[in-house]
Amino acid sequence: MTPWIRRLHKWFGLLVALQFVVWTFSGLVMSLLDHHRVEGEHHRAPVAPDTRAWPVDAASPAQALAAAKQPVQALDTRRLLDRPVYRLAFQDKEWLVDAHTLAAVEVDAATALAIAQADYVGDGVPGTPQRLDAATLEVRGHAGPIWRVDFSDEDSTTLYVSAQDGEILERRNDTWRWFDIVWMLHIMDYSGRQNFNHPLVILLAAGGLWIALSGVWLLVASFRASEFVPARWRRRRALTVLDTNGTELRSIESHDGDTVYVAMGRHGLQLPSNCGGGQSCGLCEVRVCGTPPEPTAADREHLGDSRVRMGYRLACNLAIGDAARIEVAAGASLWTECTGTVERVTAVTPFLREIVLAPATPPGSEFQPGAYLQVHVPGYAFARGDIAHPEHHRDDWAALDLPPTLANKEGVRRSYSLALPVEKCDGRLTLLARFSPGRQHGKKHPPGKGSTYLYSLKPGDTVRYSGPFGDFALKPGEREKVFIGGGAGMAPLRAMIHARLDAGATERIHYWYGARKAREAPYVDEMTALAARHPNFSWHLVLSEEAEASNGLVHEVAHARLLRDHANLAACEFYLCGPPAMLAATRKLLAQLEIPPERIAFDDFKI
Amino acid sequence: MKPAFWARRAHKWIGLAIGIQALLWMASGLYMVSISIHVIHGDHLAKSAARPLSGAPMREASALAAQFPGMTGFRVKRLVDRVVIEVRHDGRTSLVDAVTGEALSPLGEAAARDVAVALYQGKAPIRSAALIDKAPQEVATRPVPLWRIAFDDANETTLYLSPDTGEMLAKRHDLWRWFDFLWMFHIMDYDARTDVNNTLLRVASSIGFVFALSGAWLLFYSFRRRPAA
Repeated sequence: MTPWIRRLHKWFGLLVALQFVVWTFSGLVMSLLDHHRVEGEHHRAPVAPDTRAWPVDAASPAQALAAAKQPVQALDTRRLLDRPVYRLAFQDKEWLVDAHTLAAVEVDAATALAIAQADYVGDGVPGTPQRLDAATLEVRGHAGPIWRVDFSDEDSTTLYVSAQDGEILERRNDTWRWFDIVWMLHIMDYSGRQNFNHPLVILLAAGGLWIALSGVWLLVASFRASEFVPARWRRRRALTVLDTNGTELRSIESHDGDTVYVAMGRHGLQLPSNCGGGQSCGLCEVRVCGTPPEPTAADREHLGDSRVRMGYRLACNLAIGDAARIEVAAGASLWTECTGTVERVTAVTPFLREIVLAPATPPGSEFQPGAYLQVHVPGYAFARGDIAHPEHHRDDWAALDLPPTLANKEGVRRSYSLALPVEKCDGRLTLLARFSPGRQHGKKHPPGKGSTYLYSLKPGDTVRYSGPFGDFALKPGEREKVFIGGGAGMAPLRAMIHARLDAGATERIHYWYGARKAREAPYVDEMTALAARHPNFSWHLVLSEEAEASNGLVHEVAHARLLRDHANLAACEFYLCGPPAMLAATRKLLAQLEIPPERIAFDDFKI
Repeated sequence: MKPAFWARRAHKWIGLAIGIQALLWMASGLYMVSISIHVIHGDHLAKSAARPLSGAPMREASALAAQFPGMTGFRVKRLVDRVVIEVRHDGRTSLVDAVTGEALSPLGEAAARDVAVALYQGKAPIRSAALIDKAPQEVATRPVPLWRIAFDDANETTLYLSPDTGEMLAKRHDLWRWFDFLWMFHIMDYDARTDVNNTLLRVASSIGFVFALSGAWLLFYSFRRRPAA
């Protein structure tokens, strides 16, 4: 359940996040702005109770009502400055008459100014009253006409005096004006600034309540009791990190309550992770040696049942007390950064480029076919023209819609598989990089940061990398092997096939490779020559967009020509690598053919 | 450690400090925006009809001044079926019949009930009427004594009347009481429920702001995928 809550928390959070920041910010500002100042009380003169006796020679209330010649709901005595007046009201309308003569009294500019001055204390000097026929935003909610009197104080005080009955309607100032802006942001009524019962704010508040509820759930789910105990009072725990071949790499110590992810991070061993240890990205998997703890919902969600059964767990969700020994794929590489020198760059096809690196330190036995390196892509900026390409690829590059400047602001890591066994090329590392031009003509998505960097490399350049990583590897034994790939998936499959053939393999090896056009298919001559030399190896190039040769997609052709009529598919092993759609379609096909999952190895490019 | 780790750790620990208050803010905020403020104010529950004053003869100002020496002013208005005058004198207010000058204040229970029934827009009978000397929390800012007239409706409507003037000083009902209760949590003033500048709120909303920022920061990492080869 928690992974679902986490996902919904995250997606609703995206929608409500901005308003959340606005709510807390505006709430904070409102709590900081002194309400006394917001209300203008600091420039308001104290009012002494009126003790002057009402003049008994004034006209009687009955006369005032009779003289009104219109319905009156209430009659009140008032002093307009010093003058006794009657204030009459009916519904929203109010008006004044002189208490002696019963003549209508107009609140003129001079009267309004005097009323404003009497209400005000401070250094400000009032300006000339401005008459408003209807209420402005600052004096909303009142009926007009209204006198506006601005004072020249530090707070830009403005008093609003009713032109109907001479009452002070509002005391405004800059503190209030700031308050009013954040109030508007808080209630999301951007025009009237007073209605907080509209659908938008109700919707956002409901979303916000969901965020808060799910957040409290996640808070309870993600704390361990021992996290509240200071680290030095907690039991110390040892953790041994092994490589996948069982080599002990390092023993580290940490405290109860840490997760394996945190414990390793404390010692500089940064497991792969995008989410920073939040059971959200599923990259920090490790295998627990011995009896693994019960899997959590997050383990099952991200790793799948078969890996969970094999003892894999997310390190960010694994208490250090539950695992004394763990295996980490490519564990040794976690804390090493290697460098290599570019020795050769070959444009194999217009958008597939082979880059051969001479590593500064000789690669160890962990550099097996199927493994990948993480290339440390530095920040860079260069012109489009700095990407060199051979003359016969000029038209392909001219057709790309690339920005004039290609830039990467901060260092990132990108994964590339080995494209040849290291033994085959004297310990050099061979990578095959597909150029990712970004979304063409949409202009929204920039070209790939990693591929742009690799395509700018020239012999002699230094490249930093770590690795190798990954669990895509040849299985031991001599089962019949079927390789199906496309695009840059050529790289690991090619390395695996070379490794098998060089080892003198005698089992049947089929390689089905899909490309759209002959121009885009790499290493065709090399594969054809391998097939001619090794009778147990067959090579099938499937071109989906060549008019005369098209028979469909690579997995469809492989099915029609090989798998459908194969006598003993259950004895075969499958190795798959290619673009996500191809991979998904091929895995679906193999599932329909009831190939057991343990016979299928694939590399999904981690996308 | 990666920035994503620190973002997550910050969000988690700040959440521990402020999470429950954030939940209270959202729950109370949702209640306050969902129910129309006019309903909360109870405009539909009680109001005085806009009937004009009659032209009948009434007491002269001089007669009022004789009745109440030191009279500083007065107000003529309608109270239920008759025209009355509130006389301001000696720092207080007295109510008299506009025609006869008969003293009406302080209002007795029968008169207070009449006024409340005339204002009340519902159909329920009065459940209780009491003259109170100590204002309860829901009318803490009103002067006492007060007539508290409670109606026997589902919403527990209660009208508060001034015995001196017959004016309705407050109308309270359960939706209002919930609003006020949640408002207390929203502004974190658990005593008077009015001080929006209290230190607790200032500290909590500062933490809340940092909390929201850390959540927004974390969103950035939660949607990133691992780059393609």
